[in-house]
Amino acid sequence: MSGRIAYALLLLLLLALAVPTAYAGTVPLEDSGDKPYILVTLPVLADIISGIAGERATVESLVSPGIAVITYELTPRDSARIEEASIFIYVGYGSEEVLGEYAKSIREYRGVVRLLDVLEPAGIASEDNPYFWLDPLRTANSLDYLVDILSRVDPEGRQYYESRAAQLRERLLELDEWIKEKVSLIPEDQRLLVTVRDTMRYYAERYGFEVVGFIVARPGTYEPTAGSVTRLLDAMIEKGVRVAFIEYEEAGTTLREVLETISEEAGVRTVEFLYIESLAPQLGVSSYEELMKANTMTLVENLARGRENGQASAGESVYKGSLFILEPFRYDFMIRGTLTLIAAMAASALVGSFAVIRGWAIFGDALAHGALAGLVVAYFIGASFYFGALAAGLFVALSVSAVERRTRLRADVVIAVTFVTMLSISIALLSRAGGATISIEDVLFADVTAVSPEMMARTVGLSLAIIAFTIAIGRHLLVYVVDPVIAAAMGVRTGILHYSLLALLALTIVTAFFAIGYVPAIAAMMVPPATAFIISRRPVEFMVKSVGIAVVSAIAGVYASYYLDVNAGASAILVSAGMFAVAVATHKAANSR
Amino acid sequence: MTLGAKAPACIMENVTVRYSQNSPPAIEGVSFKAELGEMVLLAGPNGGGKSTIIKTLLGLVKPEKGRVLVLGRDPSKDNDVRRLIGYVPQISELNIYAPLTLWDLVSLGRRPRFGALFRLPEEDVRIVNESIELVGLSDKAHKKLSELSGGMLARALIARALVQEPQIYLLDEPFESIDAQSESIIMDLLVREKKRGKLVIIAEHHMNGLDAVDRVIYVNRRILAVGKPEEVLPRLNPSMAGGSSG
Ligand SMILES: Nc1ncnc2c1ncn2[C@@H]1O[C@H](COP(=O)(O)OP(=O)(O)OP(=O)(O)O)[C@@H](O)[C@H]1O
Ligand SMILES: [Mg+2]
Repeated sequence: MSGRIAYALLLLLLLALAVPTAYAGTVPLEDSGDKPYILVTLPVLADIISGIAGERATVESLVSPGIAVITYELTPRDSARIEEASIFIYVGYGSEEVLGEYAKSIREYRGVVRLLDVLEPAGIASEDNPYFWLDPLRTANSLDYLVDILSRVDPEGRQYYESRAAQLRERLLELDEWIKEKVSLIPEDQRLLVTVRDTMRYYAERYGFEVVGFIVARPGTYEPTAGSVTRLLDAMIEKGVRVAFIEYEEAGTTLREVLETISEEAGVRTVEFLYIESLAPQLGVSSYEELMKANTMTLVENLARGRENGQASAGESVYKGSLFILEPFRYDFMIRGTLTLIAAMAASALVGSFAVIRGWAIFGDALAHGALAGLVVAYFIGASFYFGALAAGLFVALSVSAVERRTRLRADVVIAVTFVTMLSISIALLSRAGGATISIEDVLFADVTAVSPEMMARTVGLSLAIIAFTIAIGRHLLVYVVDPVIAAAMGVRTGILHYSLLALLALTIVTAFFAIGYVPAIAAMMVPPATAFIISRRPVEFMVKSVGIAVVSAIAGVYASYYLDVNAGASAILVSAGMFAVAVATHKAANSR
Repeated sequence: MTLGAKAPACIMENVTVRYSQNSPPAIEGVSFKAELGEMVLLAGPNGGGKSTIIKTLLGLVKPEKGRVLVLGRDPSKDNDVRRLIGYVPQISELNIYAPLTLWDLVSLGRRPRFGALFRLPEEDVRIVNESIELVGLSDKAHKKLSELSGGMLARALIARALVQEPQIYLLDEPFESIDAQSESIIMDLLVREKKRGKLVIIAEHHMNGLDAVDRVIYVNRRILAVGKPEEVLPRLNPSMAGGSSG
């Protein structure tokens, strides 16, 4: 989401810059150079189009080879290239579509072509499945349309383009033959494809593969859900899948981790990489043809071997006929995810209940935004995300109390100021975070489906430690949060307690942040305690109810994720929020009696 | 004015307190002694420095100049000596938005005896119940703080100080929102504590039952008068003389 925000901000900024230049631009730029300059979003398409353009035109891709579109961020230099191009070509799906929209606004619709507008009616590609070039024959069928587009910019070149397209068609047919030959080495019952996204469908159709499944269906969407992932795992086991493939574009994403996690569970090996949108010259993939050959060889090398025996699949026997209640938990990854969610939410609720009494409910926000900024900084300097976030969380906690002491402002004012400052730092840094295949956004969208055994061990371990420490100092902490002045007057060591609570809050939010995601982590600290506050009279009751609400919400969230296909952390928070609403409503009724 | 043999429980020597660098001092050159078994009224106008003196004795505020000793120790450095002080803050300073009943608030005074999950031993429970009974709030013991009136909260804070079983009571305007009947009940309690050898210091602008007060210290930034109530009060502030405020 933050990437989207960054896009939107950049879009606004650049629109502001673009409007005056558009009016000032008296010389049409496409006439100024001797050669047409064709700008294409994706490296792989740029290579195909340059095969047609030959010497007559310069073809470049907006996204550099080696960078996934999803992590690409516009730079002012690239905006200038978009402005200068004779024509801008994009496909029109997912986050790639955003680039097209941007080009339209900066070029005021001059010479912007959306390929799907022509290829979709022609039955060559669709918005849900845009990767037509992965089938050489579909690529061949698209050539006439590409020639039309080039001829629009350079009408005299039509004949030249047509003859080059004819040569290219020949090479595509040869490529098709080559692939067929290689694929014939794979036994038919082994032509099974599991990938991160639904990218290989046209290739599969063409060469007789079955697409068993993927983590995420639609381009441009993020969230896997417990339900969709479990169904994929079921299918993998049922079909006897032995190898799952990771797309190059997903190299640094959480989605890849999800696939790896469940593959491990199904006894399936994961293999890097299938190339989809991007080229990777550093890995020997610098043209469309090399991309197709590399993908094919990866498939052949990993699928052509015979079925290995003695491979017992986990959970196979439990699957059929399990109870509604138990059904989501037939695989370990769901149990891991659920335990992690419960632990993180329980610890957040307990620590959060002290924060709520102290009047620091909004602290979770400031800490989470601080942690995000720390994570981005850690990313830039190559440090550990976890410690970057934790260090920044502690920094926020300490600066809030330092400012509060110096200025005698109320804590909420100081917290609010810190919170927007940290958010701004994150946005500023995130907008500069392009240029790598790793995506910070993915770190923010933690989900129960992506919990590795190490993540579970860390989260559950830290949560239990947090809970144990909080209970151990609870009787002192309570006196402090109820009234710091009375506590100090009673000889309670309020300084130590103050910093202990701050440290607990920072540690808890960072722990939850990585395990259950950004927004759920913030909410887990506030919503269950707020709900418990309304329905409790006494401290122990308050804390027990707060933790209880968190645990019930976590479990309900997992079921919602499984049966309704929604994000588990978010649904857990919605369940808590629902309880809050009920508590408020019934509380009112009790008062008016 | 001293009771002779007993050692001073509180000593302030030439104490000056400033809340920030460039503001005038809240109190300046304040010196006095108070002994166990005494009841002292700290009188003075709004902003006169009564609360500041109490907070300095508690060690919550550090003096810029001068020496403070409570039971022979420096309260700003010694947490343990604070446990021997029963502090009753002005109720406006109390956080009532906590999931606490009146009983819980009073029981905080027994904090050192809390077990796991805030559980108190039976003997302590009895002491808490007794104190609540003494301030006449037994029927309200299980009300949440946010459901209590100002006067009830004030009485609860006094009960909280009582269960602490301190050597010294520091009460900051304890009668502010308390009705006359409760005021005399509480005054009797404080007299009882005084007779048990405790030092009781009360900060108030006005007071009705002054018979029990041994000394009045009148402060308006500096100490302006010290003496028996009937000597000091009529001179400085007629409204503070017992009978006339009715
Ligand atoms: N926390 C504070 N920060 C800055 N100045 C303060 C603070 N507390 C008190 N003061 C100032 O110190 C002086 C003494 O205040 P103090 O509260 O001790 O008076 P008081 O006698 O208790 O008044 P009242 O009868 O209104 O309770 C006042 O001028 C006040 O403005
Ligand atoms: Mg005062």
